Order: sequence, then C-alpha cells, then structure tokens
Amino acid sequence: MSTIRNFFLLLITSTLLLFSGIYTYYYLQTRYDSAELILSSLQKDTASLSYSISKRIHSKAELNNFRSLIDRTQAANNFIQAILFSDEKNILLKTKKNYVKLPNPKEYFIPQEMSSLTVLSTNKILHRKINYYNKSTRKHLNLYIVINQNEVDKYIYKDINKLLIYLALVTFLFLTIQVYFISKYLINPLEKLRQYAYYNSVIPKKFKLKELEYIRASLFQTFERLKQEKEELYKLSRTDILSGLANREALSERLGLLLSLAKRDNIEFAVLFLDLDHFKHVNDSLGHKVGDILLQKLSVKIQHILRDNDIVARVGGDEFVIVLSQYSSMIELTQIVDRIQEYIKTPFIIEDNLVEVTSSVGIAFYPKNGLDEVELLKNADIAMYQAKQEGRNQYHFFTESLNAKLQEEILINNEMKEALRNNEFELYYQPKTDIKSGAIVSCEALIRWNHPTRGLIPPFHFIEIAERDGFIVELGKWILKEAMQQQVEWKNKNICDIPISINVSIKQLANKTFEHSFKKIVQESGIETNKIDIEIVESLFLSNNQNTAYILDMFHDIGATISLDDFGTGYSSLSYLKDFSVDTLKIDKVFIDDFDTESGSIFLETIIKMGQTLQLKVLCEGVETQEQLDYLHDLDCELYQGYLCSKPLPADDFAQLYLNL
Amino acid sequence: MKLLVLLLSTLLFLTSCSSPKDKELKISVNSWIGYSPLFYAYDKGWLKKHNIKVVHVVSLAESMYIYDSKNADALTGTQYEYTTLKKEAKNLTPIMMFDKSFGGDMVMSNRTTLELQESNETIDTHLELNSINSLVLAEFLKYYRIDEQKINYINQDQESISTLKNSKTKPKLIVTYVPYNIRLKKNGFKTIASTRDELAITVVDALFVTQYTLSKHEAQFKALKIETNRAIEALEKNPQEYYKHVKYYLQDISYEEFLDTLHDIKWINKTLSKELKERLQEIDFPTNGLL
Repeated sequence: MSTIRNFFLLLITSTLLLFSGIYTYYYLQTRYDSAELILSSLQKDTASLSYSISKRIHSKAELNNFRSLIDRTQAANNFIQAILFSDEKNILLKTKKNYVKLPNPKEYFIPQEMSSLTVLSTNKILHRKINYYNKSTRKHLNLYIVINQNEVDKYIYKDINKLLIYLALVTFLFLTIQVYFISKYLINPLEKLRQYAYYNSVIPKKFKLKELEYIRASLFQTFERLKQEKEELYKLSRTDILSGLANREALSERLGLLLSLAKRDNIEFAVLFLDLDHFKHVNDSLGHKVGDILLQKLSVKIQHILRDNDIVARVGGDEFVIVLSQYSSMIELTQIVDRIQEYIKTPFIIEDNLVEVTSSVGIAFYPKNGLDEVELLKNADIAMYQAKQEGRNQYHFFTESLNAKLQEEILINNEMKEALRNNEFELYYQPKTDIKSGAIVSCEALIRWNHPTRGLIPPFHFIEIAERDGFIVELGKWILKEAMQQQVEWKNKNICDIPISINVSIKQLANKTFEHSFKKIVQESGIETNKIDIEIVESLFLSNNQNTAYILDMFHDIGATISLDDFGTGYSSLSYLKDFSVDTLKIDKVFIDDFDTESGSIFLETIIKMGQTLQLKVLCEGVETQEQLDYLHDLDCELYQGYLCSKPLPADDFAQLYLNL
Repeated sequence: MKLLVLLLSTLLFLTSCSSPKDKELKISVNSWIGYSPLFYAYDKGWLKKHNIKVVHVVSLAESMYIYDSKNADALTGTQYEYTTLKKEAKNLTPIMMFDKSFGGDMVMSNRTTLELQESNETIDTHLELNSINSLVLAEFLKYYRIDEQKINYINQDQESISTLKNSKTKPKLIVTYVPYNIRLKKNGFKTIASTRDELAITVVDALFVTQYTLSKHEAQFKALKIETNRAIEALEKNPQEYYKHVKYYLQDISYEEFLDTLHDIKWINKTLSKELKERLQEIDFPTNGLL
C-alpha cells in the first residue's frame, strides 16, 4: 500500500516527465523550424540575388554593378558571413577580403532531401549557379553564400545547456514546491486527522482545504457529541431517574473514594440507611403516582438539608443512603439526622391529598461498624430495622448486640426450615377451663421447637422471625394440619372431643392460597368444623380490607369459631368488634396480673362486662393463682387459661391430664 | 472511474486535434492559361483544406529559381524547365499534365516574317532565355530561315516583356505566351507564328516534383489532381464564374480575351493521345509517373 506522498510524487514526476518530453519535443521541433527558417531566408537571398543578376548581366565585368545589392543582401541577413562570386577558376567578387581561394565543393555540396538542420550542420556554404546569356550563349557564374555559423548556432544550439539546466532546476524547484504544498496542505493535515481520529487528543487547527476542513469539523462535532453522550450516559448510569439523586452505582463509587480517603487520613464517617415508614400504605391507598411524587419531594428536601460534600442516594423503593463525613461531634450528627426526619415528617399536599410519612434511620460508622461498603450498608440496614422494630420514626445506631441478634435471626431462620423437614416442631396443648365447673372445655395448640442442640425453643424466639421471612405460611399449614389431626385422634381414641384453638398469623391469612389449603386440611383431617377455633390477633383488623372480612366469614360459614387473642394490648377498638364477627375475647395476661390493683381491676372488669354485653365468650389468659380465679369467678368470667390449670403440655400429657380430671 | 475515462477521452480528443496535419505543400505557378485551374481551385479555397499553397510568379524562369532555392516543393512548367532541372534533380518527374499549347506560345513582332527575313537590321529579340521561349525562338528562326546573326538577344521575364512598346523604328521580335501576348497585341505587336500552326514544336505544361517530395505529400498531390480536374469541369460549366476567380492571376485580361486564350491550349489533364505520348517520348518527357 502506497502513501499519499509517494502517490503524489509519482504523479508529479510522471507529469513532469511527460511535460519535459513534450517540451523537449517542441524544443527539438523548434530547432528544425528555426533551421528551416534560416535556410529558407538564405535560399531566398540566394534565389533573389541569382535571379536578379542572371536577368541583367551579360558579362562577368558587369558583376561589379551589383556590388551594392550584394552588400545590402549580406547586411540584411545576419546568417550570411560572406557572399562570393566566381567563375570556374577565380573569385570575382567577395564581401569579405579573407576569402582568397575557391571554396572546396565538399564545403558546399548539398545532397537532395536533407533536412534543413542537417544542411546547416554539415554545410558552411550555399552554392548556386547563375546562368546568364551573352547573346544566346548561356554562361554561368558561381554564387557562394558563406553561412555565419556562429549566428546559426546561436539560434539553433545556443541555449541547450542552459535550457537543460533551467529545465532540471525548474523541475527540482517545481517538485520541491509541490511536495512542500502537498505536505503542508494535504499530507500533514491527513496525518493530524488520523491521529485525531485514533487518539482523539489534540484538536487540529482549521485546514485550508475545504474537504479536509469538512472532515475535521465533522470529526470534531462527532467527538463532541460522543463526549456529551458519554457524559450523559455516565450521569444517567449514576443517577436515580425518579429522584434525581445518585443511584446505587454512584453511591458505591463515591463511597469507595471516601473509604480510600478515610483510610488514608484515618477519619470517621457515618452511613445512614433511611427507610420511609409505611410507604407501601401510601402507594396502596393513594396510588403509585402520589408515592413517586412524594419520593421526588422528599429527595429534594433531603438534598436541601445536606451539604454539598455529603452523599445521598436512593437505593431502593423508599430506601435512601446518606453518607455524612463532616461532623464535629455526635451531637451535630444526631442534629442532622433529626433535621432530616423532621423535614420528612412535614405534611405534603400531593394531588389534593395530605400525605404524611415518617422515617426510620439506621446509622453505622466507619471504621467502627465496618471497613467496607458492604459491611457498612448492611450494618446501617440492621440498625434501621431495629429502629423499625422499636416503633419507627426514629433512628438507631448499629451495635454489636444488634448484629448478634441479626445473626441469630438468620441462623434461626435457616434452621427453622430444616427443622420442619426433620419434624423438630411439636404442638403443645394448654387447656381452656370453664371457671364455674372447672372442666376443660377446649385447648389451644401452641408450637414448640425441639432443637437437637439447643433443646426446647419457645415460640417467641422464632415465630416473629418466621413471620418476617414468610416461613409462617408453611409452618402455619403444618400447625393447622397437626392440630386438627390431633383433635381427630383424641376423638377417635375416645380421649376427648373438645374444640381445639389454632393460632393463625396475619401473613397466613393474607396468603391467597390460605382458604384452599385450610379447607383441604380440614377435609383431610376429618375434623368436625365446629371443633375448630381460630385464634387471631387485633392487628389483623388493621389490614381492614375485604379479604380479612371474607376469611373471617369463611371460618364462620364452615362452623368454626373465632377467638381474639391478647385482647387489650393492641388497638382494642370497639369498632372492630362491631365490624368483624368474633366469638371469644381472650383477655391478655397483663390484665389478670394487675387484678389486685385498682386500675387493673377496673380494666379487667370493664373488658369482661363489655364482652358479656356483646354476648361474647370471655377468656382470661395467664391465670396462675386461685385468687385470680376466684376474682374472675366473682366477675362471672366464663373461661380461663393459665398455669393454674396447666401449662401447655405435649399431646399425650394433655390427654392424660384430661382423662385424670 | 468516470472522471478518468472523461480525462482520457479529452486527452485523446486534444491529441487528435493537435495531431499534425499534412505539412504545407508549396507549388510555384507562373501566369499561364493552362495553369489557371490551379489558380481557380486556390482562389475558391479548395486547396486550403489540403494545406496546399499556390505561389504565384510572373515567369517560368522565376518559378524555376524559386523551386531551385527550395522555396517551393513543386513547380509548374514546360518540358524545358523539366529538362533543365532534371540535370540537378535526377528523380524529378512530371506527375500531372495540364495542357498542350495550341497557339498559346507564340512569336510576335512589329514586322512581318518577310520583312524580318529581308531586313539586314539587327532584330532586338525579347525573350526569357532560360525558358521554353528559347526553343520556340529556335524553331521560329529555323522555320523562317532567319539568320541568327541578326538576332540581338534580350533576356527578360515575361512581365517586363509584356510592357514593351512598338517604336516601329527598329524591328523587334518577342517570344511570349498567353496571357502576356494580350498586352503586347494592344501595344501594336502582331503574332507572326505560334504553336497552333507555324511552329512544329510541341509544348506541354505539367507539374514537376521529386520522388522524395511526392512520397512526403502524396495524398496532397492526389487531392490536387482531383481539385484541378474539378476546376476544369467548373470552367466548362460556367466560364464566367471561373474567369472571375482567375483573372487576377492572368494579368487582369478581359472576359472576351480570356475566352480567346482558351482556344490557344488543349486540356490534357485526363488523358494523353497516343500521338502526344509518342511525341513526348521523343523529347524524353516521361509519362509513366502521372497520377
């Protein structure tokens, strides 16, 4: 592959050679033409002289009469050196005195059909016979025209060397100039364009040639557009589209830089994990559009509160991470967090809706709570969950105990699933006793976990974890199945045929397959449905929706009863009792514990009377003493449950207890 | 690619445009009715396209000088010029025939032939010695048995001769040819002998050229031959129109005089009679090189 430089050199050289050839041809042609002209002028003079003389002369002596004509002819023609006339032996007349002998025929012999140039090159003298007549006798003279060779050479050959030198010089100069201009205006710019296109480094200056300038301008515009698009893409890849805040990638990048800096300078910074409380409720009740606008407004607010060098990123639906690196004390830090949470709490009016949210914040510190991004975010997240668990709308610092708790939760979570497969769970049954007769009229199935290494684990250690994880749905099915089968077994063994209370969690009920699986278990177990009592908690009513009402109606429809567990500790709203059909109120243990105080007895009496008024069965939980039982008896409370009768017992023990009564 | 083809085509076109035409062919022609077809073709511009130039001269001798001095490639002339030039140029040859003199060459005088025969005076005889005139005069003297001792030779070209006046005091003989005879006639001279009857000499007019020149300009000579024939045809069709183009070259003779002179020659441009061929052979005038 040739270069442009070589290509142009070849082109120019070829052109020069061609034109040199043409020039040389014309030069040589000019020599021939010049020779023809010179010879023609000499021959004309020869013809003219000879014709004039031949017509007027009758003897040699008369030749002198033409002296002036001869002189004029010579003077008028620079190519004539001399003119001589002779007869056969002597020169009769000459214009230059130094010609004394007759010219040698070799000097003037002109062969036919010779080119003029050859004639002038090979002959020094032109010769012509002049015929004249003396009377009728023809005689003749010889006319010699001596050619001025110097003058001829000057015209024909004179400048050939000079011409060749000029030609070479001009060629060289022309080539040099051409190469210079081609290099300057074409090759160098092309090289610059190549480098610019390849390295995209130095922007070439404007070029003189229009086409090259167009390429340069196009490249420049393309690179600028690419740069702009690259920047936009970079920005886009690091920006959360909804909020305009940094996204997870940008957070990771900036946090990485901060970590390097903090490590080098040995400084501390705080990572805040912020999660909006009940944001799902906003989305569900007001729609996602309102939720999105809320997030946008909150993002603006959070950014407004923070300083330029603080980092704020949206890392999930309603999750934000804030990195604060410049605070002088923990007081200043907590003030910043307070300010953020206060701003978030400010009510917003979005599409004519008053929207209020709170936030939970978890805080972890570098290097105390983590040395890298993953650890810091995880620990801040743990702290945030702790804040949630502690009632939301607050912040919580990460501690090692929190971490340990989390690790425990994770461990339990994993082991629970294994435990179900290994039949490590077991149902214990606690009797529900009629206060007046003292007879066991029902029992509540309570789960226990026989851990192979840790021993018996009570439910409060794992039920909450199972609910958070969703494992409760699977575990709940097992409980329902196990409890119903047990009731049928007792009945079949003629041990007892009493209703059995089974706890069902909110998540279980919210599961779409619950009804189907519940009915299937009922059918498979063969239990009489009026022997099923479903225990629910007050918080179920918070998810006041059609599904809750539907499920509760379904229980009643098949003949099961419903007990409201731990009544009095939750919302205890009378409207719930009105809206949802409940059969039994189970008064929480905290009330019977305080039965001997004035305020405690008032609450207990009020709840029992309310239940009686609403024609509900009332069961008091946690009865442990005879005094408590007597007190309840006096209040006409119908049922109790507690250690006074029996603690929860394995199935066989419960059967034994029932048979012994 | 298209551009390259276009450039090459242009180059080829320019090359063809600039390719050398036939080199100019110069023919030296003297005033003579027999050569008038050349003047006609030249004046009509027919020869221009063949790059043929007619150099008009006033005498045969001058024509010969011009040719001899390489200022013409070919010349018109009679067998005299041919014979003369042949001595120097061995391969000179006639390639085109124009006419045979049929009264076109003549002897004029202010005396009758009888007076000339009987007179003892010196007779001033004007002629172009170095031309066919010499042969015509010799034939005349021989035919009328006039003593050459009485002849005073005055060598002049025909242009000068045609201006001679008839002084009547001294006998004059003039050897001339058409159209120079017309002015002389006006000046009082009478034709006493011509190639029509009294003079047995055969005078033919032709175009002479060397073989070398012929090979260089062959196509032009062939074209010249065609144009000459065409001119003679034009003369036969429209003498008036023909006359307008040639009168300048024939000393501005009148149309009637022009028509008269046409009777003094016979066109032999196309074919030669057997007798003429034999006659030409006798005087070593070749006809095998005719175009």
